[in-house]
Amino acid sequence: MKAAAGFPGGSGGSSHPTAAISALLDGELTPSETDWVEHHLAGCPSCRMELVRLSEARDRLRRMNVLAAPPDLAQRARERIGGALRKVTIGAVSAAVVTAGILWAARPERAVGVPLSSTLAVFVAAANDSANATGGPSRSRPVSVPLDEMPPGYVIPSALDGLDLEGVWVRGQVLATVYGDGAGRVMLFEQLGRLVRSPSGPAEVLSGRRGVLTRWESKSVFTAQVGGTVLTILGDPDDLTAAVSGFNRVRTSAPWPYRTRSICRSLVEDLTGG
Amino acid sequence: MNHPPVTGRTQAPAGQPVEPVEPTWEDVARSHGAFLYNLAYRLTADRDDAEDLVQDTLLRVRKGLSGYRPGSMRGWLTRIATNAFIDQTRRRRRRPESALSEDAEGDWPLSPAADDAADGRSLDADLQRALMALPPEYRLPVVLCDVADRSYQEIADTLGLPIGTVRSRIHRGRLMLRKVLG
Repeated sequence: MKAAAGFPGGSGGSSHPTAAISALLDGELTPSETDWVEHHLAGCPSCRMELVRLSEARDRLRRMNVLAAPPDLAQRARERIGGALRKVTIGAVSAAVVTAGILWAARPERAVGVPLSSTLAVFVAAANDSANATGGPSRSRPVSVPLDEMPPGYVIPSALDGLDLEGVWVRGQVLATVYGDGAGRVMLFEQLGRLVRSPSGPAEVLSGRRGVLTRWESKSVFTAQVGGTVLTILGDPDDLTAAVSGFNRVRTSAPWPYRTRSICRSLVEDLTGG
Repeated sequence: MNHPPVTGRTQAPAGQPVEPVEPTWEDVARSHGAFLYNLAYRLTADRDDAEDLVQDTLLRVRKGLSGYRPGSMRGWLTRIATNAFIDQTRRRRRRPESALSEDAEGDWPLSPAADDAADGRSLDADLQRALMALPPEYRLPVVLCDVADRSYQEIADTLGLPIGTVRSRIHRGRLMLRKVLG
């Protein structure tokens, strides 16, 4: 490589390899280039001065203190990313990379057990939606909650007896969606993974869908693979009407992604035998 | 009550193949937050702008994780942060009241973070001010080289520039710094 042509930044076509001096300091020259520049430096006082000046600037830059990140950086990022994902959920969620679980919970005023209640509290708080908490006017609000941030007491599909999920929930992020009003509540979790098998019963393949119906305490748990989506419903088997009502509202609610509405339509069909 | 076997960090079932684990944005924030913040601060010289930039980066990480391939995590993050910075700079150029050049020439406050760094903080402040006096097209390659410690080839790939241009800009950027610092 010819020095002047090979080193953009060379001074005005002269033979001083100025830009190469920085590159020399950075160890970015080939051995032959290095030889050439060092040879030049040996006979050129002005380039040696340049080397000293550049070296000082470079050293000072590299010796700059490493600043500590603000301690609450992650928390603020979490809040902002949660907000951004909310928008994503309303718009379009990439079906290829997320899977969904759907958790249905009973009316707020009903006793639903400690785990479920705490789940509701978490999601209502995350949704920052007082209407949901008070059973106020019908309102939907998707919300994202990092899996790691969820407190004990919530239910995720891979943790339910009788279900086995592969590649799910490993350091994953949950995209959870809350739909609630005074009559019922629906939650959607969206995560990476797929439903592998159901090694233990009772399990029931629901109509038209590779899904299983299992029980957990007094709740029925429906889990199915829908394309790239694993969905799970947790609900009271005695109150399917309320569940269907909840899913129907999601199905017809414009802000939800098409995929979510489609899933809810399938659920309604499964739950009503239609 | 018979609590279900719940956990916030569930392990993969034993004996089953686990798909390659991609880092979550929170992993990135935890392991590389300081690196990103430092890089962002050296590019912006402002705590709020740096934090914005880190959050932009993490959000892009969150959205783009499926594109991650095992390799240099810092190189990957540097690319994302650089793109976020370039977008941020473009947005500001459309809003002259907060143009970078004004940040650099205006009343640049010594950040509390820089205050914390007791040793050589005034030297750092001088250098930071000098960095901000560089046009972004020079500041970026210099910071990527000397703060993020990226190779010329990585910087060229990140900025979409020929490697010779990167070499030239790093060199001229350092010369400009030297001149400003006296």
